[in-house]
Amino acid sequence: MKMALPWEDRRLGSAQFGVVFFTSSQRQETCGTNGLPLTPNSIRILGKSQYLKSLNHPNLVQYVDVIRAKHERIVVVSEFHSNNLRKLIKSGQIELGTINASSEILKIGRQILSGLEYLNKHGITNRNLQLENIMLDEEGNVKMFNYGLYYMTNCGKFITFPIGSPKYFAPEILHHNTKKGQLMHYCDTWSLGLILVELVLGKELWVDLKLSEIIIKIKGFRGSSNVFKSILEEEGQLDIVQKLSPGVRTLIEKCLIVDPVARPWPKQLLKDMRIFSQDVQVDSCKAECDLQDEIQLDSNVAMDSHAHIFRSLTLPFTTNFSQSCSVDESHDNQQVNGDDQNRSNLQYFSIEKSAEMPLSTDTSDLLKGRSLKEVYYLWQLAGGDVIAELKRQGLTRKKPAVLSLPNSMTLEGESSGKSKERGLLLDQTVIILPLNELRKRLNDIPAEDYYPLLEFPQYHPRSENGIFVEETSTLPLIIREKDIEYQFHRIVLFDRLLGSYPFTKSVIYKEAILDIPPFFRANIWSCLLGIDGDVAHNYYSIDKETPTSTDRQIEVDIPRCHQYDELLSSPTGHQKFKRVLKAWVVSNKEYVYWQGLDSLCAPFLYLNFNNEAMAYSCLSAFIPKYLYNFFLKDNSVIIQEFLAKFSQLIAFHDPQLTNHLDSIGFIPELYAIPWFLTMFSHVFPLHKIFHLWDKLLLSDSSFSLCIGLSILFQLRESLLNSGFNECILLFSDMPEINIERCVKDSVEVYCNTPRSALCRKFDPPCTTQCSDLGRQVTLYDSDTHFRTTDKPPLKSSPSTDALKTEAISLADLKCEKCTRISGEDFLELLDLTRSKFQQPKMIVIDVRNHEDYNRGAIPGSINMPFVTAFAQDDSLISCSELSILNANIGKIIVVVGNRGDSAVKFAEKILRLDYPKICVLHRGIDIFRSSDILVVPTTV
Amino acid sequence: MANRQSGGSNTAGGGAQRPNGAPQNKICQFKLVLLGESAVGKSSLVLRFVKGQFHEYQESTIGAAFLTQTVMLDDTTVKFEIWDTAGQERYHSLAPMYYRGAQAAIVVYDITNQETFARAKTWVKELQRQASPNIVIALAGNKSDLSAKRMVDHDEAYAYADENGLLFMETSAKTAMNVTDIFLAIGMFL
Repeated sequence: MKMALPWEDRRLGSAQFGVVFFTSSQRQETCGTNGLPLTPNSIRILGKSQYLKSLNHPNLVQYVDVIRAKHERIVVVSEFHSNNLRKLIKSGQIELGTINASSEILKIGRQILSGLEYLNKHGITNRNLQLENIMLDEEGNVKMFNYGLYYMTNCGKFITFPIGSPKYFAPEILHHNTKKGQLMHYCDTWSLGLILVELVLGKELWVDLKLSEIIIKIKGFRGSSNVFKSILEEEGQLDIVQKLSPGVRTLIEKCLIVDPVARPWPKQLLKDMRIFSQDVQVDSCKAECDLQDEIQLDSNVAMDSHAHIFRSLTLPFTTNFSQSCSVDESHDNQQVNGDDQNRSNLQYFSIEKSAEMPLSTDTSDLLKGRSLKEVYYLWQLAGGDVIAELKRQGLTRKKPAVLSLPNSMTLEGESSGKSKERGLLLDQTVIILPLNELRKRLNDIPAEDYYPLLEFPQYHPRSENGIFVEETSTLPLIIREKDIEYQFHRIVLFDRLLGSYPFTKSVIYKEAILDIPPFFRANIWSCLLGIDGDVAHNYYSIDKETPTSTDRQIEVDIPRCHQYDELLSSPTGHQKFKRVLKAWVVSNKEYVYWQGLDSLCAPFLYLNFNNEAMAYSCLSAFIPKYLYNFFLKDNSVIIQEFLAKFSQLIAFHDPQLTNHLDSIGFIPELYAIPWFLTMFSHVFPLHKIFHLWDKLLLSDSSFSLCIGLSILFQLRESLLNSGFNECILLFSDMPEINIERCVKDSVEVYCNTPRSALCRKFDPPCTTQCSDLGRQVTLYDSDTHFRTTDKPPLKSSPSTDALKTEAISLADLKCEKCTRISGEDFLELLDLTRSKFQQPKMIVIDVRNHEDYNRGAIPGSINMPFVTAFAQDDSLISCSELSILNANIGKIIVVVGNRGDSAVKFAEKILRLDYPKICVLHRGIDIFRSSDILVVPTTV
Repeated sequence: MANRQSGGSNTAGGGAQRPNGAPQNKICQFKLVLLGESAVGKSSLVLRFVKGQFHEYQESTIGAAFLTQTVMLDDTTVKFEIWDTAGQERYHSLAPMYYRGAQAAIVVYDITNQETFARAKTWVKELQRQASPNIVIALAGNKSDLSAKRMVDHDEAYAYADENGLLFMETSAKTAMNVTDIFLAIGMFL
């Protein structure tokens, strides 16, 4: 399965979180041609920027979050490293013109190109290359920063300021030879060239020049045949060329070709043999040789207590062995362990480390081993708030408009004394998010909790102050989701479990019963839905472009679907929505697009915004399981059966409500179709759907009936006191529903309803593996609850078919107010093995006449013949059996009759008398004829 | 439906007044059904009429929605039972009960979309053929605030309505233009 697997995410390491922000431009008009308000640019940026979060390349910083703040501001959170090329140049560590510098510069060049090539491959142009934006990590590897600005602003169209530093602008940009918005990978090459020149010179160019002078200078390069040479000449450093390796020279010269058409793209440069190939070979040979020397050297210096610090300080330019990562790491270990004798162990160590073993002896900061996204999530749980952080640093203050007015203005229109609104310009400030609070909060968590031993039967993480995390699990969900320690443990746990999917499927399932940590919801849902196979390939092989007849419907539905959500209302969101829906319609020829399918798609798309293929797969897996045949062109029988079952469920659990709703003619057809057709995704906002579906996904489709009932429970009082019109108005604008209570009630209802009572003829043909699993794990396990237990002992077992759960025809179903119970479920409730001291779980009413009853009846049953049980006014005639019945109210009442319909009628009549939990034995007493269950009742 | 933010809801204007209770008056109750292609603004018209609100991102109607509104016409209290149906045609096979027995129907189209007008015509035909013979049908050309993008000519629609004996108005749920009027006109007619 191609999932965004947790372990693929970038680890925190020594990185920090850097925040940059800018203001998007206001749109001129407020209303589009379709009459809908235009999407603000900030939302368009938000939608587009999501893609950046999915990028992963060793030479690019990881995007972590993009936030839309007040005043059309966009705040971007990403990985950040404090060292960068500018600092490197300033530090004067580059020894001018040495061979060593050449190979380092080439290394930097190649890493930048490699990052650029990756971006280009993903349709992104950087356009923001400058010294500060090329960061260096601890090992001196390039991490490009803020490379997504041009992309997320739709090539700068959504902002008012120009992107990038003009100094690095290619001449064609200044000559306006390129239109805004055009993708120009070759502009980046130019900027790279200039950066390399600065590295070669060991100083920043043109620092004293004014912007206009710089622009003139760049424009002036137009006539130059060799820009590199011209610059060197100007700087009086022409002789430096001799000291450079030919590779570096060629690279710079190629980068600085004035004609954009002739200038190569990053990809072409990387392939250029003259620049890299020999060097790579030479380098790697050299690295190996060096390694031997260095180890020798290092083990010597190791005696020096400062060796470690020394090495890390000078790493970028004094060592060459970062060529090969594993070599470098093994070296690292070598040092840590001080094992300078056993050189053959090198390989061994590097393998161990890459296998993600907690080898590091540094337990002081275990956070480093967690992924960036996870640490950021936890940081937020620890009270971190990016916007507040900006505010704290005084960066989000917006000046009142009046302060932007000029102090004086000439008649010619020139003004003075006007200070520009800061937000309208590109602010290069990077704010570092402080992690101390988070570290403080996680301080109490023992190191072993970072690496839980899952195979131990009892996994009870506990925090330092002795509170079991398990205790937290009994708190309300909303509190749990905000509890950093609890979430930390859940995330660590699921991180491990998800990594071993599908082998851990059953454990994931079991843990998900407790709750689903929001951080991993997308992945866990995919697991619960049993997504498998090459999801991406399947999805991309579907034709989502060819126009079809449903296009118009999809197009008018999407701009109305969960549009309060910023992501789903962004143009990017709309495009994704459309593609996923079209893909589903195209690949499910037997089904058609029904309005509501859009709502159904929304939660999956929201969770898998950067993974359309997964959103599609989830939708495709969800529908057959929970909405089997609901999207047939003619689905009326399916929906009618579903609704009829729903009515019976209400009657079973709440006869009073049923009787009231029946009396005013308020049938589920009037309100519940959107509920079930969309599994409530059309009824609730996303955050509520998440909690609802967290449980739904652990169960089968009949669980949705229970959800429906628990919604009615919450509205019960209003419904009982309302007439038809008020009732229907109540649902036309769904009142606030407490979703946690709703989920809890639903589980309760589900557990207290015999399985056969929820059985439908149009159920999915075979329960999938997952729900079988659910049965085994006994999701809703408790003494009073239903579960499949061992079959009661039957000496001469009646034909088992007769006992089986069997759905009845729709016509019958619609006529019957009370649900039927199968022989199997009946026997389970009867529980003949039960001891004398246990209370029976149900009361059985035999409605046959006395004669039949006395010949043989179900043990413990009471006889209330249908013909004589009721008085004129339909009330039950008082008798000893009636008092037994009344004494057992609350238990399940099973009405047992003959083949005729007297049992059904009897059940309906006592339903009208508000008796709860009534069901009728399917096929009547006959199913037990051949068994030895029936006994001759002892006459009182 | 519940708890969703709705862009720019506006309670001012447009809504008809609820009576302060005038029991001595005659009370009439009508079942009225709204029909038309999806996204032409059926739900928005009802919402404007009943609650005086307008939601820019009005969700699609699944199945049907039901609302009531009571207005005073001279000395008669008229109570509208409004059945707002799903635009997608499939839903009509699912629940024909929504428009069965309706005394009035508003067939809605979008003036910026010619196809929705064609669809409206087929609705009118179907109603004339299948609904109760004395059903009052009104044709509403909605989204009249977008007249810059008009695709359906006012006169053409008017002529068509005239020919078929329909009440006709161009409405705008957004600006509330003619919304109450078209409901009142139906009430008068009945």
